[in-house]
Amino acid sequence: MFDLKLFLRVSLFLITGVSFLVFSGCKKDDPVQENEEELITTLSLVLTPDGGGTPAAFVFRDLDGDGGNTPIITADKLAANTTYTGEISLLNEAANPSEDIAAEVKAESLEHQFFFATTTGLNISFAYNDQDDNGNPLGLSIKLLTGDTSTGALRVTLRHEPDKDASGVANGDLTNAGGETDIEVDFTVEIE
Amino acid sequence: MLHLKIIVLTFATMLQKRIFHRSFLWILFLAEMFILLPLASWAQGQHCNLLLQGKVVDTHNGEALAFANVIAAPQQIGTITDESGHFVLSQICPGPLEMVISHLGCETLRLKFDIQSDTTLQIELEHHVELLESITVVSKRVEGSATQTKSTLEGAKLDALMGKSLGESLKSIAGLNTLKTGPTISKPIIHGLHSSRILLLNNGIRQEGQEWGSDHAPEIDPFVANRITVIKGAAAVQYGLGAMSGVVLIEPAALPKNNTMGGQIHLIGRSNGNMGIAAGELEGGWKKWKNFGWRLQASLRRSGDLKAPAYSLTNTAMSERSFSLAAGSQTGALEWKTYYSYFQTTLGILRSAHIGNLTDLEAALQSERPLFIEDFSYEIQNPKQLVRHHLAKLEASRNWENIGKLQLIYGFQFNHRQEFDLRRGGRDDIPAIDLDLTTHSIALSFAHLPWRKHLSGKMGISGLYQQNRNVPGTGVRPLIPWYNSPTLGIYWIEKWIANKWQVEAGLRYDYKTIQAKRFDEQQNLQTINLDFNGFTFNLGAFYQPGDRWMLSTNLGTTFRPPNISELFSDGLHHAVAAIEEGSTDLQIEKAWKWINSLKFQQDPWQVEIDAYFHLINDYIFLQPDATPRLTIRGAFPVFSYQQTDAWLWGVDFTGQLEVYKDLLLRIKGNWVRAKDVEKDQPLIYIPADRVEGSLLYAIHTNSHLKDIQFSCGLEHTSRQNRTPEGVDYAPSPQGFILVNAAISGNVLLGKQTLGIHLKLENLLNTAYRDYLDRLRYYADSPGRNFEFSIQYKF
Repeated sequence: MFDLKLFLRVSLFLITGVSFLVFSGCKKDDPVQENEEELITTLSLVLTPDGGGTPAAFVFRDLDGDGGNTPIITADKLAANTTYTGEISLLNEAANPSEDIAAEVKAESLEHQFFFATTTGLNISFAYNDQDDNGNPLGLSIKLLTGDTSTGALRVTLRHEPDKDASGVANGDLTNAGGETDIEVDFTVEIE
Repeated sequence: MLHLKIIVLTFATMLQKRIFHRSFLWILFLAEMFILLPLASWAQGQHCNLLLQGKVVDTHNGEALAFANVIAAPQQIGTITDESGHFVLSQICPGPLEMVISHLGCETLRLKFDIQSDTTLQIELEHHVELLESITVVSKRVEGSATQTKSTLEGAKLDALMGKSLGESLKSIAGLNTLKTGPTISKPIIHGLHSSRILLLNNGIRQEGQEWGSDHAPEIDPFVANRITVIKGAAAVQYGLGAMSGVVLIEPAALPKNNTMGGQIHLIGRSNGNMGIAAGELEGGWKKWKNFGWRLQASLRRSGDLKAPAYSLTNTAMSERSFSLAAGSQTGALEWKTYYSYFQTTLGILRSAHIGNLTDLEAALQSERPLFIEDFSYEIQNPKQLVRHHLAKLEASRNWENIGKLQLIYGFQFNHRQEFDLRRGGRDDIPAIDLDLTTHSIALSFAHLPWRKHLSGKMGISGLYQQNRNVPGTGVRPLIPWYNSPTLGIYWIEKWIANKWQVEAGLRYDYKTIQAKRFDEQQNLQTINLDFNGFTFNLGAFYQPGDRWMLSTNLGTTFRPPNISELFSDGLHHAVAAIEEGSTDLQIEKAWKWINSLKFQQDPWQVEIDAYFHLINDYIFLQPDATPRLTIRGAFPVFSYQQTDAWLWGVDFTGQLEVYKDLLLRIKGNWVRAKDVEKDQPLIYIPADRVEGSLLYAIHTNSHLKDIQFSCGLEHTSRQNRTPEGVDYAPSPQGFILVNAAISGNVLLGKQTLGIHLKLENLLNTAYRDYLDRLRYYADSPGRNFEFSIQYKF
């Protein structure tokens, strides 16, 4: 005959065991904050007049990354008919200490290139001042020549995996570059 | 009834002692059932309400055989075919069935098979005494719940689709379309809706992958299926949350019950992509254990870059491997089954579809050719997806004579999704998305036998517990948060079966909670608790005045809680250069779907028409915001999840006409219309009108080469002219016509058969882009493909 007591004892034992296994699995496992390693919060282009004088800085800064607070964009005025040497720095200032992204770009110079474009009316011309490991332009360092008094927009673009051999790309023309855009920032420039 | 008392007793004891928290009681109840089931006394008892119908024809001239005697043993239910060769047998018990068919001038014939649901047979009878063995079952159709509109793929129809992904296979059913992300990723669309609005049941377990994403293909190998059934109505009462527009049931064959070993091997080669597929299956029993059966199944596939007519689709290579094990046995009234499957896939994503911002997207749209075209390769580079899916199932059921059947199913799923992106600083091998999704599901149901001969029904309770964990170390803010989400549902369906009528009604209640944790902008850990609940009901009728007409109607309500991506996504969607923003304020979607189906069958015609109307209140969709968001990569458009009221309606048509002896004309079409009622404009990504026509010619021989069939067809997809304004990046692509052809046959090798298929897809190498392909901005769809496959059954 069926032993009810024994059965109850066995089933309770089993249930307790199963419950223990199920609920002991629920240890505290809060999410871990991800360190956004590829984030670029800050681009600054510092332009130093070749003949000496106060450097001008163009800065795009978005400390909290995409979304949240809107980026802060500042641009100093440039002097007319002056040759500048420009140096680009890229930082992830969300990390502590801040990370130098320009160094990563430099290390992968074959896969990156900066491009500089202006809206019509802004009297500026550019020349690359550095090279990647194959002798093609990179653009972390540039020469910038201002013309007469004018205003307009300057667009700084960083392309990942562009086709550096395509026509016009070595001269800074984006048309045939391909690849993906890592950075695309517009500054309002005033030459006085 | 002793065991029932024991449950009550144990339950009461525990309540008195207050050992456990109340919310765990239902889990305990189910656990009780597990323990009690094997102890219960065994008895024979079956649910004998199946319908078996069919037609008996002469093999030689296809003429109907009237006055043939049809008897179903062992119940000894018999009838005589009418002047059109038709017969109907009702109240058949499920299980092994032996049919005895006799006709004047023929010896008595015996046909053995396993019957599990309502079945339609076409029996071709050889009208010569010496060739009696060649009696064949040509088609077998499953009806199941008669008030729901269903379509089934099985037998030769399913064999012809072997090697295709699940999404592509289902496209052969009227009313179904495929949502694609390039040529490697596809998922089914039922009546215009997909992802969280449809439900996939793999072997009785609801598939829980990361189905919310339109670029997340179902993690199911179609080789496991012996039958794929699509329910086109709102079937949420029985199947639960998500069954809003339809349900796809993927079912393996019943396990063998005797000790004979059998199996099959499939080998498939495809020219486009140089794809190779190998699949095998082995099944058998055990000498020492009667009624025990097992099955082993595995498949491998590898493809290189696919080719559009004018160029190679660089980085569309893929590889997939999967296997499954099943075992089960039936002892008296008690039956148990266990199943485990593993699925792993690596999918390359078109290289040209990887873009950085809107400028890149515009450049891609302006270029006629993709911007990256490289030579053919089997290599799968970034961007790519690597997905692994484990599914384990335990099922036990018990029959009681004159009462019914109790069934308990436990399912465990573990889904690991990794997505690799093109990254800077040597991070290409670090996944940008790394998700672990674990799901436990448990369902207890009781189906009762007809009460007063007419009223049969089913009631059940089902629970699901799901958790998502982001594997740390991606270096990217997670797209989907940490979450835990339990769901509990309870339902009851009753069905009244009369002579020509069936009426069905069902009610269900579901409760779901989500606890999510994420970091806010100040990097503080934030916990969000959400809960959703609601009722669902279903009302349907089925009427079969004779054996030529069948009418069914079904009205179902469903509700759907917003999915995890609609609630929490916040970030850039790379393929379309848009920022998508979720909202935790979203309410549940409430829907009504009314579907009517008409079937007509009279030689030489076979026609099925389904018409439906679907109303969805608080339909969740992506609405473009007025102001773009400025980031260091430029300005991006922002889309946020909003709610509106939507209508969807449409018609599916399937027709077959025997134009001449052995020459069939088949026509299939679907039309869907969808509207945002509040804004009075069409919904985005609704399938364009599609019509398919094909001619089939069969040759009957008595040689070693049998069942030879030629077919050729045209597939016409119209341009989708009904699109909302200002939402899409490019106008919808032009309509297109594809030409397909196939030859198949069986070769007799002793007692075994070797099936051979040769298929020619997109024969004219037409260049086209599909509106339902999310990568249509970047490249054409694949071009011409030759496919050769062999199937050996032993």
